[in-house]
Amino acid sequence: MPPSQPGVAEIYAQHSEFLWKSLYRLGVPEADLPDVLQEVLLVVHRRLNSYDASCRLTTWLFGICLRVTATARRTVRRRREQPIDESAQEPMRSDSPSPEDLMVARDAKRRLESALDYLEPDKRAVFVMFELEGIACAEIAEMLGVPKGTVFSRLASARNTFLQALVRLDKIDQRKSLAMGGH
Amino acid sequence: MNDPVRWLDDSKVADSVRSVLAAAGPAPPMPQAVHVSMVAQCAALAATGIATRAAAGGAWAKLVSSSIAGNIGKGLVVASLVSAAGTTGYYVFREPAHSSSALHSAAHQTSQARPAPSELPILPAAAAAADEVVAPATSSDALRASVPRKTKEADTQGESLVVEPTSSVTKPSVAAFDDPTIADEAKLLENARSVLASDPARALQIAERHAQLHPQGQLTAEREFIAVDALLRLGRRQAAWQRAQPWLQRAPNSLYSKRLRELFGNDGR
Repeated sequence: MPPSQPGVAEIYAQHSEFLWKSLYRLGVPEADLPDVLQEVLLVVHRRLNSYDASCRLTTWLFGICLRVTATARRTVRRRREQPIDESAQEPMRSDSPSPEDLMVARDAKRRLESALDYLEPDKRAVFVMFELEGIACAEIAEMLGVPKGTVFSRLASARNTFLQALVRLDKIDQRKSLAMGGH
Repeated sequence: MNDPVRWLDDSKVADSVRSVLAAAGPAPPMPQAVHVSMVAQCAALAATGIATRAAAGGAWAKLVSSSIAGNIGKGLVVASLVSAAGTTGYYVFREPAHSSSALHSAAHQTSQARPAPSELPILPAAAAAADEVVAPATSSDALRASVPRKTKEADTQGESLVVEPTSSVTKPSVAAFDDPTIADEAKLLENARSVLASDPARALQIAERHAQLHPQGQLTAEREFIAVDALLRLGRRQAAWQRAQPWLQRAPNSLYSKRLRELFGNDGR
């Protein structure tokens, strides 16, 4: 390989944060991030020769993240199904807000994660980047190597799905609450 | 066309929706231990071409053991490869078993609910296909089962699977993760590897520079592999053979040794 073509170590050194964040945006649970990142690096290494510089390196890398994540998605979903107990076991810090506030915050976070899980990976990534991280659509388009119009349409679609997911989650919560005899 | 208004900034969006969005924290930072592991794995991949070769064989390959090397004369670090479909890849540091909790708590601060990586079972198919696992110290029975005889013999000092453990390998491995030089090491070796084919003399020079700068470095295995390769390319077969000997003798069935023998085999024709 000519020296001008970066190796996997160099790519990792320059883009470790991008890779890490991309996988997170694509919905990989925090606990699984190291495993999935490792898998991505293997693919990067194996496919280095197929990178032809016609697209941005980040675009190429994101594509790999997307494919690896899509493959692992079923597993990821399964693991995500019991997030409530996990968060309830988190130790409380002394500087934390009141237990009530914490519970509300945890509940909101759980709802957010659950709703995001309804989104297709590529739409989820756009939604997370725009709504949660405040990245401009033009920048997202460049990062993902798609036209800006595609970012808009993915965002619109993701927003719809997200709202529907929240409604659905509300119903599930209500049913659970009734089943437990609560209000 | 302008961007739409972010929901968080849009008062027309229901509060219930905005409060859910507001609950998002920033993306979690990468734990230092994970970063170090990835740097080491990249270096190992680049130096040995492990993944490329395994892929050529049609199997899904995973590097289950990063090659954080101690002193080549004392500790042994061997990258290990598992070829199996559908296994969950994970990373294992070479470390004394008793310090594993420190590592795993660093690498998985937020994942107490999950088993630590070394506790994850390797599927039987993967274990059967595993090369010699010398490096990782773990109490995993599944992993232990995949360790060949030679390594088991060394497993008499408790749970460590490290061959010939010495004082240098039983120091707390966490210290290694605080060492910021591993990125420098990886970069240096990446440089050496990139000129290996075009200028093996230069590659050797860089490898020697690595040896000077990082005599106790963590990527010693990769460095030695590059150095042997460079010597062979320079036609210095005898020197290459001598240099490879410590590895070949200490871990004859390891992946590194196999790759070294392949180097000599190819060169000998």
